[in-house]
This record gives sequence, structure tokens and C-alpha cells, in this order.
Amino acid sequence: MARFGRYLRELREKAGMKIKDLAQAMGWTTVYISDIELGRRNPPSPAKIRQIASVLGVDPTELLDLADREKKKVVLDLDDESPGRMGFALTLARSWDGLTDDEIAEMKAILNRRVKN
Amino acid sequence: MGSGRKVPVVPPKSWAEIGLISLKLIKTAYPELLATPAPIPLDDFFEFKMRGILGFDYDINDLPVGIEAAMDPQEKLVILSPETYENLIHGLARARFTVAHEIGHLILHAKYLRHRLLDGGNILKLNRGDIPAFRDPECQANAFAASFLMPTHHVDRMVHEGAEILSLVETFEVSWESAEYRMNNLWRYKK
Repeated sequence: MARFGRYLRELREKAGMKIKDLAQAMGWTTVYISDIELGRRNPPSPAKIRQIASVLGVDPTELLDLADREKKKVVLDLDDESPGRMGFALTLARSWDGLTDDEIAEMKAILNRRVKN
Repeated sequence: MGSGRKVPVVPPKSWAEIGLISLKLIKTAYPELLATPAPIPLDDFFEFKMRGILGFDYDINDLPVGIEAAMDPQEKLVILSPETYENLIHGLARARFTVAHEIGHLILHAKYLRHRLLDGGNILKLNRGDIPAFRDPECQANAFAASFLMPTHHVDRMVHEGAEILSLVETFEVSWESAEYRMNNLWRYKK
């Protein structure tokens, strides 16, 4: 089920924007946007999704979230000058398959505290 | 399209019935246009109203050469070629008629064809020349498009007031040919 595409179509229609308008704003073809909205193509990159959200005047969070779920993959922008972040991301990636529910809950609690702050 | 192409034979419909179906759709989508003769905003209908009212989504996609639009009864989609979509947005008469014609197929034939396909039933296909107009899906869809774009009661009143073909062309953003056809066949839409 192409939830990203459906949601994008919903947002675009709510904004009163035609496929052609979004295509022009993004520099894409109308066929490409129709394909994305009907789930025949994968969601675009996070940077492009942010750009779409900006054109539509909406918060990109839900679109980014749906895209990640659909691709079953999360992409992190890693800064080479920040070895701590890089190391943490790599450790997380290496440990991913073996994480227990308790460990996930513990890490999530830490990250949620950060989001609230 | 040539009259030699085979098409499914569909349940009979009179032009008067088709006129009423198109009028009902206008009443649902743009009730203000029942009182005022004006162009149906088909580009708006296609992207913003069709799914909500008729349950069919829209698609812009490359179609085989010579095909401007199509209706897929199983996927519940109306598909426009990128050129037809572009021309629709620019209000070109031919594209407007093409889209109205596909909406006609959707309203008049989609359910019938889908059920026949789901039931595994046969769909009788014949050369268009061998089917009476009231059972020919292309004739029915054209009749729908004509009355959706140029509602009978408006055309009737305009003709009585002495309007000529050009008035219909300008008022409803249709081609000369379809306005002329509409005037000459107005009697068919009346019971």
C-alpha cells in the first residue's frame, strides 16, 4: 500500500495545487508525480521530500516518516567531522538485528526525553 | 477512431437518460452551473472532485500512440496522456471533450464492465458498425460528454433565443464540431 503517495496526493489536493503546479515547482514531469502518488515509484529523497513539503506549506515530518516506512530503510546524514555521531550510527547499525525490546525501549526513552526538551 | 474497431456491446441507454445522468453530476459537482450557462471546470473536476463523487482516481501516464485518454474499470482509474492533461489545463476544447468522454465511460460503463470481468462472464464485442448507437459505448460516451459540457436546458434556451454555434463554442469552451453536433441532435435528448 503506497501510503506515502496517497498522503502526498491528499496534501497536494488540500493545498489546492494541481499535479502540474507541483511538477513545475519541483522541476519534475507530471507523469513522475502521478507515479509517486499512485505508488508506482519509491518516495523521493529526504531532501526532495522537504522541498515538496515547503512547496505545499506543510510540515515534512509525516511525509518523511511514511517514506522511511515504505522504503523500510532510514537514511542518516553523517557528518565526517563528527566522529561521535558517525560512531554511534555505525554501532546502532551493527547492533540493529540483535536489539531486544527492553534495549529499544530504553534508548527510545532517552531520545524521547530529548525531543521533549 | 474507426467504425471497424470492435467494442463491447453495453446495456441500452437513451440520449434522454444520458442527459439526465450528466445533469445529476453537474448538480452534485457544480450546482451553480445549473442556473448559469458556463464552462464546466473539467480540470478542477478531474483532480479535485472525481474521486470523491465517482470513486475513480486519476493518473497521468504515457499511453500508446494515438490514445489520448483511457478508463480502467478494474483499477478504478481515469488515465490521461501528459499532452491531454496539459491541454485540459489550458482549456483546449478537444482535451475537454476527451476527458468528458472518459467520465462518460466511467459513469455509464465501468460498473457493468467490472462486474462482467469479475464474474468471468463474456463481454460481447462487435464492430461498431454492427451495433446500434444506443448500445455502442463510444456513442453513449459522446452523448454524455456533449450533454455534460453543454447541458440540454441551457442549449435549448439559447437556441430558442436565436443563439448560433459560435455562442455555444464561446459559452461552454467546446469545439465548433461538438457545438454543431449538439445543436443538430438536441431533439434526441428530449423525451
